[in-house]
Amino acid sequence: MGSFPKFGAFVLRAQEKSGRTCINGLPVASPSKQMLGRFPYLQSLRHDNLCVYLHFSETVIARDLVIVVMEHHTTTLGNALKSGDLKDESTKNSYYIEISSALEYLHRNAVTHGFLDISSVFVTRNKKSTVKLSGYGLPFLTNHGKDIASSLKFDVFLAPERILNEDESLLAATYQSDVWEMGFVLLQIYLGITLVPDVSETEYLEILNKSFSSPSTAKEYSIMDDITQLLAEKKRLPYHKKCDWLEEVIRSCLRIQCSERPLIPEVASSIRENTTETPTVESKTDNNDEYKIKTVDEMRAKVRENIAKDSDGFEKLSLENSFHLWKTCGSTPEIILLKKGTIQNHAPISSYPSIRYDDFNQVDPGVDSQSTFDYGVFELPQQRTLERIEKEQKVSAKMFHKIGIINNPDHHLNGNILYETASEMLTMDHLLNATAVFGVSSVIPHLSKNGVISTQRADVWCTLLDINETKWRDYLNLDILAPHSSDRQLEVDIPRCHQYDSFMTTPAIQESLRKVLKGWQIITEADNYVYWQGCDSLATPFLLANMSKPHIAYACFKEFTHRYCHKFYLKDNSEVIKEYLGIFYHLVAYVDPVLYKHLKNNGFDAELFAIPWFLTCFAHELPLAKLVRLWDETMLHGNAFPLMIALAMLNRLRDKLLAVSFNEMIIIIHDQPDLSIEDIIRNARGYESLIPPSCTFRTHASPWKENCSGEVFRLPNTMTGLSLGDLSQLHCPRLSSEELLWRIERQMIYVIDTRQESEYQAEHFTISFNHPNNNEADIEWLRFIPGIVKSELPKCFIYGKNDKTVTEKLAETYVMKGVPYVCVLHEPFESVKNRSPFVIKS
Amino acid sequence: MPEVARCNEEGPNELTATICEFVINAPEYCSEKEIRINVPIPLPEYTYLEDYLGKLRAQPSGKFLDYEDAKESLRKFIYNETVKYQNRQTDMITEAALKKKQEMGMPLFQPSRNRRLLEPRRKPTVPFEEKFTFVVEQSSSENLLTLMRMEVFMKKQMTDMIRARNWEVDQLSKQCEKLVAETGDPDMHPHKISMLNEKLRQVHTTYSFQVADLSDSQKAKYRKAVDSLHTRGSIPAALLDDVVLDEQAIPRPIATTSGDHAEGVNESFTIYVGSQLKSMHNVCLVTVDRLTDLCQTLEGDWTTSSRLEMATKLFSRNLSGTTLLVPRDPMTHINSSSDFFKICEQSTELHFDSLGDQLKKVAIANRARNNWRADQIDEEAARYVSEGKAPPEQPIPSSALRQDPTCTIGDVYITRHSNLHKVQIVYHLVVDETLQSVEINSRHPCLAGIRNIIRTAARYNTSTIHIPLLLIDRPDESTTIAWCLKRAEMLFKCVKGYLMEVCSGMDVESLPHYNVHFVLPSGLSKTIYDAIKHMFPNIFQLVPGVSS
Repeated sequence: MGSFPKFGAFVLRAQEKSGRTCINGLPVASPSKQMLGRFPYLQSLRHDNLCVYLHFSETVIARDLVIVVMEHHTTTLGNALKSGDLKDESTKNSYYIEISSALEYLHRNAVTHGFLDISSVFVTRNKKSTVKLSGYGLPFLTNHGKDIASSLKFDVFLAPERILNEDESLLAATYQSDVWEMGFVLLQIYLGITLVPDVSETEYLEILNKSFSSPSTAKEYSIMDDITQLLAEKKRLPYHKKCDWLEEVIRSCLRIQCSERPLIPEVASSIRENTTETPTVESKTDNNDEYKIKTVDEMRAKVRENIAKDSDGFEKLSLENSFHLWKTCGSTPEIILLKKGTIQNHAPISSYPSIRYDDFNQVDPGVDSQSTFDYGVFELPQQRTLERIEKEQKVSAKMFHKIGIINNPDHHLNGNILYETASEMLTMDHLLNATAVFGVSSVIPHLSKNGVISTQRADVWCTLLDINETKWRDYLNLDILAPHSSDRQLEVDIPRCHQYDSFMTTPAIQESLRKVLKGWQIITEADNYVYWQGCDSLATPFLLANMSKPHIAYACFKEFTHRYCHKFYLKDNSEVIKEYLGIFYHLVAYVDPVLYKHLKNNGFDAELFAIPWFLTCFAHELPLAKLVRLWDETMLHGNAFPLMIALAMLNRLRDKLLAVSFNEMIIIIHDQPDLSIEDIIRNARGYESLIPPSCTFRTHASPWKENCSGEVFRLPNTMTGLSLGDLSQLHCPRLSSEELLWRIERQMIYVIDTRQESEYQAEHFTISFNHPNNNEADIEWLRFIPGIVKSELPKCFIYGKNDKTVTEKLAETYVMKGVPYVCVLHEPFESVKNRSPFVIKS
Repeated sequence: MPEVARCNEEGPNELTATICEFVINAPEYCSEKEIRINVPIPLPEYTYLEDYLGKLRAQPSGKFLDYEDAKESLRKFIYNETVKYQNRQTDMITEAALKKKQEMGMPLFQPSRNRRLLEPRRKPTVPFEEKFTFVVEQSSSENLLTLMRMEVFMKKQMTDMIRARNWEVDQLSKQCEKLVAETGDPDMHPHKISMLNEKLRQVHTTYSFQVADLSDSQKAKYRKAVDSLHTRGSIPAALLDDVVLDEQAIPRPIATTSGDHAEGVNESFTIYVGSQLKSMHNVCLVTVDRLTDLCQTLEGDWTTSSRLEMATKLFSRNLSGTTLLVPRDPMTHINSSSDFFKICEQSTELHFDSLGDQLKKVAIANRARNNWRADQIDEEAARYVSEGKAPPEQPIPSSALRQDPTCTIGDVYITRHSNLHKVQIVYHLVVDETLQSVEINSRHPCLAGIRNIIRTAARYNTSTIHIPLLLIDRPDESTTIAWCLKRAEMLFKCVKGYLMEVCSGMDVESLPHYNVHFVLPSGLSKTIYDAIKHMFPNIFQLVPGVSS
């Protein structure tokens, strides 16, 4: 079971700030929150020779500790050097390249390492030996140490300017101090030994003292030769193959004046030039070639090969997914570190302060923290995870291939949630990659059956929303930094947006949200769009899914609003909203006439509660965890799906609403805390299949149409919009002629014809019933129609060109008498085109 | 497209960020030859290369630049300028450090203890609290019962002594009064009276020594017993010699007489706090005669089972706290022997410092804080003077502030107790007399004090808290209906906001749950109690189905 990755955790103590309130009255982001906000950027860094950052959490019990989890390996470069394994010149060469290119990558992304030494470099031995740098970016994460209260243990060979700078934060690392520290790593690889203990700290400092004190030392003086000379004097200088260019590189890295050292990109390119090997190209193709294969045959061959090897398949999971699996095994890093005694907790009463005043200030400096912890990186145990995996079945690659050629009923993974999840992740990866060929619709059945795993949500959403470069290009060309008219409003709204969520309280994420919203505004201003309160809530989930990529969050946000909140953010949106609410109430009348009547009688209009629902697509109403589930589902459906959700939301409060009148209704309607989102989704799906699609017709509906649902959703539609006045006069939805004919053909409708009997006899639809007296809603007559009582099919009232008003009134009367599924045709009988195949003429 | 970089250092102080101008050649077909933008170096936090690239592309000819090429040029520019900036800064700091160390004659580089300073490890000796926690968790029920009986017995000893003292003091005072009353003129028998007074003083002194002795010996004994339970798993018989382990002597819990609090409101609600993610809390409205009643141990409260409950909660993550309204001087409790002090002296504080010692620490902390504030006032005054303006008038001169060990209105000082009834933490909110009658707004320092209480409670796992709803201990003639309702509404709304604040930014799994008790004084009219009760659901969102 070698391929399940290892995870290492380390603990930092965040500074506690005493002054805790901003001018706007909201709490100041604590240093631990600030770090939390910066973490996603570190997490987004990917390079073959960098360990991946996976997880950052504030501890629940002791609130000033934070836990960082990253990819972990057993052997450090220090171990490898000590054991004398590292003799091979070509391995050494590839290490030089890997280390320098990893650092170059970090610097390209404006991150300093700050922690580079032979114990923070791991040696991995998969197919060939490679190195991975770990512990990087702490200066960035901790704001150069200002945000942490615990110290870090640095290597002996810290750059001289950092040692001198000790009064300042120890993390005062710069790009050029990385160069120095890399020099020492390179030197130790070159010599094939660890310098400690042969060069002690005292000796190192002496060398520095000597080279800094003597006035004759040139600025470009390098201490490399001092080190080798010291070793030689001690007779500890090992045999090493002399390499002039490399010595020159190391020498230049170890110049005492930081400005005299070369830049990392220069070092990296000179190493590349001087080494003939090109291992990076090879190693790059190692992991990802799975998805780069183009042809089906190659794919099959690969799968067969995997099965033949019977490898366990975990190597195919990304590290995030593996860590997600690890977490599903029921533990958190915090609990594990507590159990192992790495974090020690103390009773809160013992650290109680003696006085608090002003803005949460305290004076007792000696007050202990509630917890202490051990320093270092701790490998998180994975035995539990692996046992759970292996308990029921033997691990094999077969289990991970549910799609394609493997379709063996023997390999049901029933009961083992871990396998299910792992397999799910891989299947989803495959499907997402395949959408380029098979289209978005190919993933939808799978998604609607299995849902979305949180680690894959960003990719799934991008796929469903069809996000590509064209959708974010505009955003990249904006001057987001320039002042804008909306700045003040954003200043007010953003710090209040979804504040229960940890990430949303961090300055980094708030700043990104500001950029996304500002970008969206600058771009949509031309279309007369404005920022409405609620935009912030709506954009948030996309940002949280793409924390280090605001441009993608922007593209998702824009596309989502285009589809599901179309024109809601127009400067004058009253017409759009009113139409939407009108249609919503028609649908209520359609599915639940009893409730509709009650609401209407009490004057409880949709304006009173549903505007925030639709304006923010429930983002203002629901906590994020529930919201994202709802949106996972929404994105699989057409632009009318929010209406279905609203019906489901209303339905769950039905009994309560029916029992009370106006005043209590207002209170009840906002009571959503223990709402089961799965129930809502199930009901919303139910409504979608129940309600004829053309009943949701809106003039201002999004032009975007999904084309994955049934045929009936794709029918043409010749309906035209109603004036708001007409809309409010109507008490049931309208059906399009196209859908009417489609349903008549399939006998999926009850057609009730209100024309005079003579007209009816002259020409009528094949399966229609002639209503006897248009001035009276006759329930007994209606019940007489075969099967109608139990049927969920629409009852469509059709009328002649002179009977429109009276028919609408009739339909209303039926609705008010509690008859469900009532709708009227949007045009008179005579206007229905192409009706001839479906009519009987006398 | 070769680009040119120009950098204007702003001002002589190099430590501040510099604004650098990035210049890139526009494609030939553009009317502009060059496109230029200003970039602050180092980049301000939370701005990225992409943001400046956007700025560049938003320039009139910017959109004609090749995106990737321009990005690479800008990236290199920012990187190189940042390296230069860092180098300048490093040089400056290095030079300063070198100069300083040379002046002091120290070697430039020396092994520093600072660099080895790691997270402090746990102390090698196990602190008492951990031993105690261990004992409570691991001891046999028999041993634990014995330990609790020790506590009960010690309390009895102490109470008896205090009672004896009070009786004697009482007798003497009565004699005194009698004497004065008999003569009708206090100046008539100065000798007799001063003798009595002297005697009174003596009684006080004698007893205070005796009380201190007893409490020291009890504390020592108790610690020994816990130590020995921790190490050997048993209590040495010597410690139990004088402990009466007779079942009869141990008080039985007395059924609480419901008549006491029949007056006023005593109701509990379950509420939601938060707009999207809602956390659930319990809120009670309770009525008491005095705030101190909430922590008072009555006859019969001090049983082995109540002591055991205290023992398990004391070092847990589930503490309870109550709020008292106190004057500015923390030592008032001792000096004028407050009700709270009298409750505390009924038994020895076995776990924490005695009330007096804790208050002394508060006074020291206060002085430090007042000093700090005085420093700030002086600094500000100096700044005004240096700018040629008259410093603003201060309510208290800074020199006076430095001598002042008392608190300011709205401050909260905190004491810890193991010998009170059901609470371990007492928040002393500093108030003045005006609070009894004035109308306050949400920026009143006492509300900031309430906020600090709630924030402290949240920070230190204190899930049960009591808050005086009207911020008064007893009603008086100024406590009108309108005043009460206004005050109650203010407190309700503020506390709701404070609760929301301490519940934000939490993970769904770790949402806190608080029990907040709003305490009302007895003796108000029924109308007031009813109105307050009815006001509650209009301000807080009740959990339907749980609260009626």
